[in-house]
Amino acid sequence: MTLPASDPRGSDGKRAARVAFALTFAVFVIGTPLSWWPGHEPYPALVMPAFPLYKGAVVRTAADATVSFRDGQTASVALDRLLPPTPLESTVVAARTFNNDEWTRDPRIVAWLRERLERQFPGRSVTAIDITWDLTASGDPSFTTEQVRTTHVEFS
Amino acid sequence: MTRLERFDAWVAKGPFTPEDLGLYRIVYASLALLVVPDLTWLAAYPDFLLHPPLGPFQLLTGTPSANLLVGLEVVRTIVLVLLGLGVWTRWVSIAATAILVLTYGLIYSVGKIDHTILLVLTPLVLSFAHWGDRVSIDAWRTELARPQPQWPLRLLAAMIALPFFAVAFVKAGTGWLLWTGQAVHGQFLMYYEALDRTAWLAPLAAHLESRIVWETLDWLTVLVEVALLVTLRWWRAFRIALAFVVLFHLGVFLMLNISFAFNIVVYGAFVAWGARLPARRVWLCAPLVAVVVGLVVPASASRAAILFGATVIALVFLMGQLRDVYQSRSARV
Repeated sequence: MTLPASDPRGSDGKRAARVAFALTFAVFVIGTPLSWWPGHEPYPALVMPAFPLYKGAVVRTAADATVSFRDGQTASVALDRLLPPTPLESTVVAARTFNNDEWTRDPRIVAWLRERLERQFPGRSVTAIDITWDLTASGDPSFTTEQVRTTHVEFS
Repeated sequence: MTRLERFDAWVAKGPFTPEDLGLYRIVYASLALLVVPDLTWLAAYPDFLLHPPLGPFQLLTGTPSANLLVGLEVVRTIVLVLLGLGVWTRWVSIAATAILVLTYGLIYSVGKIDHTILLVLTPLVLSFAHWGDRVSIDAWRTELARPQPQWPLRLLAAMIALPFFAVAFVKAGTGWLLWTGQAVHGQFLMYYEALDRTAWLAPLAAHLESRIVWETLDWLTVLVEVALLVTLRWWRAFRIALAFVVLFHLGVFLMLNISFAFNIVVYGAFVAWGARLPARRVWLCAPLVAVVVGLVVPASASRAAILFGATVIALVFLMGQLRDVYQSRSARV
């Protein structure tokens, strides 16, 4: 049996609709500006990815890592490749930990990074790593690459 | 009529039938089973690599164990299957939102949020639409003959339209509509060169040099995102705008290889399933089939199939709208 596509609600239904809409709007109004503040997007929240331009360009923060070995040689490695596998965007995941200098003061992270490097370069003794974070632009030759941070860590 | 009374009247109006909602419940549960992510990879992340987002997940004290994550996957599967079958639908719907918030929140605690919130909220919202009243175990046990609430669909539509409008605002405010830069082109190059998204039409798009074409895509992107809020007031217009959003997602998938399959699943709430499919209990097999398909078919293939299927539905709908316009004009003549 197909019921009429109308909604003869009592006051309970009206109240539920009003409360639901008000709550949704409140969540949206609070969550949206927070999501625009880098590193402060809440979850759960009613937001969509905005893909904003920065100085008129599509920019991306990426890290170049140079590993030094005991024999004096160096090698490059993409920092996000050192992370355990993830279906999420690994550069962003890597940046949350390594795009600052605080991690260098945490011996657990330093030891973990050394162990991951030695797994990446088996049989070689890792002595140091230099991580340079850059802001680069796609499709905009006028955008000058901005260096965000360089971090040097010696492995004892 | 006061504003509040006009609002009450507006949210009460809608074309959705219990059959539409009952069938969509099965569609939602089956497709959700195909798009929800694997959780077990999280166990390999040490505690110090966790950066939970602002909100309840900041209470997380450490990385969940592999056993716990497997357990959560099992619970999530059971809940979604029960939802598809329409068993204790209202409570299972609430449980579905809860388990989806929990499982997505855990994986986002590594510091990257994918925007799956609409998929997560849909069961909670539509629990108020009595979407278990048809084509369900609940209906098999007790025939329910209550009116179809329309306001949850209006609410879900608003939940889609509001954040899309917000991102259109950000795009317009940061220069997407200026001729000095082509944002879609920049995004495409970033995904193509830096993130190695080179599948489907990406290699073809790499040869597209026309600034006019890329700038047009910038404008169309913002227009489509604004259209949802502008058309929210009228169901027919909103559905047309949503059909164009599906085509927009198709374009993004083919060129940038970004899948918004989890959003596409939610847009299905606005399809008149009851007008296209018979409301038969045989559809209750679908969630169980989805579990099996999910075990053998890669998630990326399922997401692509969902997108292409939705595109067909959107095109059929748009052609139907064109036919209606043509027929009404012919009738007037």
